[in-house]
Amino acid sequence: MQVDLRVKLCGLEMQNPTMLASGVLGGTAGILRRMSKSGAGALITKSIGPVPRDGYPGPPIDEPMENVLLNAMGLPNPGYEEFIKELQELDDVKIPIIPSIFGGKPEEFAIVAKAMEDAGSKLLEVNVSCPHPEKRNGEKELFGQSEEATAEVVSAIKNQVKIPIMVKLSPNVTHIGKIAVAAVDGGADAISAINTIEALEIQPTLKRPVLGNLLGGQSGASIRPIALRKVANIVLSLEKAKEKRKIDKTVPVVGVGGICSGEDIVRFLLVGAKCVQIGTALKDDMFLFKKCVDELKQYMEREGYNKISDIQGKALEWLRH
Amino acid sequence: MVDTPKLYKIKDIKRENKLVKTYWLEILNKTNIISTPKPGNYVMLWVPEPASKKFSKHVFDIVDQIPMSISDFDHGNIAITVKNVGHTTNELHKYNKGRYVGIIGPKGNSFNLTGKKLLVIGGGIGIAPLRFLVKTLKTRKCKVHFLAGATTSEELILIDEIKKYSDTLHITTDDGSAGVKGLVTDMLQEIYDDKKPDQIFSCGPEKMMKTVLEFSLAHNMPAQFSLERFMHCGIGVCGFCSISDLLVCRDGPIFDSNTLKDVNEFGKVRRKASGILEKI
Repeated sequence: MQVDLRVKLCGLEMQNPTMLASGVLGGTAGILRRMSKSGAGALITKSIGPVPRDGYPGPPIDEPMENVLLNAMGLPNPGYEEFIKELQELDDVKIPIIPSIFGGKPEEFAIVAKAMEDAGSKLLEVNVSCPHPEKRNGEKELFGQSEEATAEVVSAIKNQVKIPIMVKLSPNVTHIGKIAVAAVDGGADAISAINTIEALEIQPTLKRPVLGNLLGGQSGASIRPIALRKVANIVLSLEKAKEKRKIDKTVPVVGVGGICSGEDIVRFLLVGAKCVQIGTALKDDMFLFKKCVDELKQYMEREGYNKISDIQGKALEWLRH
Repeated sequence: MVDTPKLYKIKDIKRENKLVKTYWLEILNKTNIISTPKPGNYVMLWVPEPASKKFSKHVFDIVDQIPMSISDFDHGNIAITVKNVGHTTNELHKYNKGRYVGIIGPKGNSFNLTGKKLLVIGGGIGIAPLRFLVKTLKTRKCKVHFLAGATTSEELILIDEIKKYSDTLHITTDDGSAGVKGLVTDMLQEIYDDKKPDQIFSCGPEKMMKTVLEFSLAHNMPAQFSLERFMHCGIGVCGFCSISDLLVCRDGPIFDSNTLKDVNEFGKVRRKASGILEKI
């Protein structure tokens, strides 16, 4: 029995349901080209903004214990004008390359998105886990921590571009399902979740945080159960919102957070994800995509599934009520 | 092994010249098991607080984590030889004995210790990791010929030690204030003809190493180079330390002539903190 691992996401054909997550090995043409041979079905770039950024002082990364990574890189990037030159070197790469974009305000998101569309990109990932310029209730917030701010960013982009956009949600919220619905209502064509979880590590002898920017985001295998829960919540919230006609269609949900194996891919598919992204796990093994996809194939052969959509959502009946 | 900084105490500080100091570092928690460093390895050095220990909003311009070659190793203690070139190294230079720094490492790959007649070529602060190399080579059966260069005699570092560990030492300075006047690479043909080396090790300004690479390829002689690039994460995930499709932090920092001959960016361009390419 032939197993068909192919997935189509927002019109893009992928040979398997894995994507390189944003922020990992995706910031230069050379590295993206190298990763295009890693076995991933598609590559998502480092998040690119309106102007060059150096990022935060170090340490930008800390690994306080096994399976726990904290990062506060600070969105270092060369700005969209320089980065588009790097992308243009990759026209011969066979797998989809999806730019991740961000901005300091909705207009900036739209400018970067339009430039990427003009440069030939067919799908964008929108990183809303970046700071909103205005405080709410006296607190600094991310765009993705508010339904209105998320919808505003999404609408601003959709007013400028025709290509589909996938919005990557922050888990640092109470009701991620509501943020997802707001994004889809604003015009999002897909949702990816989750970005990193806000975290902190303290050095006991130095009596200070380890990360240069003090707070950071947690990723790695330790967050997988949280990511899984959030993805399930998003899939079910979109379902309910469609039933209640709050939105007129559901959209694909891409799962990310702590994936290191074929079984992990299956876990996310079972709670309704269409495909997945892998990032932090590449730290220990750059060939992980090949290994995970092989394991996924073996699972499908064992369970008698011959396409990815056969697995999708099979665990959700337990979670619907 | 998790990548988290371990605290080391500054055990000893030796001033090498106006801008360069060697720090001997002793790990605080002796129950930590660290692998023995090999020549070519580096550490991620965390300078965690201002020398004054006073917190202010300017702290974020000063404290940082930077890659640093291991310039010596003895009885569990690591030596780093640091040139004062920017905010963070400037702050480290104000640290006294007894202060703590954070260290992740030893990291990276190492020099492949092979060959019988070795030519070691160091330029400026690039001599630092080569000191550890020649000290280690002393325990092997091989001849070591060291070519040390700098802009001026004051910039030559670790010369007394290099002399101890080398069979011959040849010095050049751009301004002629020590040794032969000229670039270190001007002496390559002469030394090659005289000593007939079978392996080259080099570290220094990238333009210097590029000339050494071209020389080694023209003479069909294997060569190994210690490279540097701006590093953010140091663990091979952010990709900002890349040179073409190689990661200096993870695939390097040591690269051989066979690899570098196909690397377009070598000697030409490097990336800044934002990832923007600039000419070397």
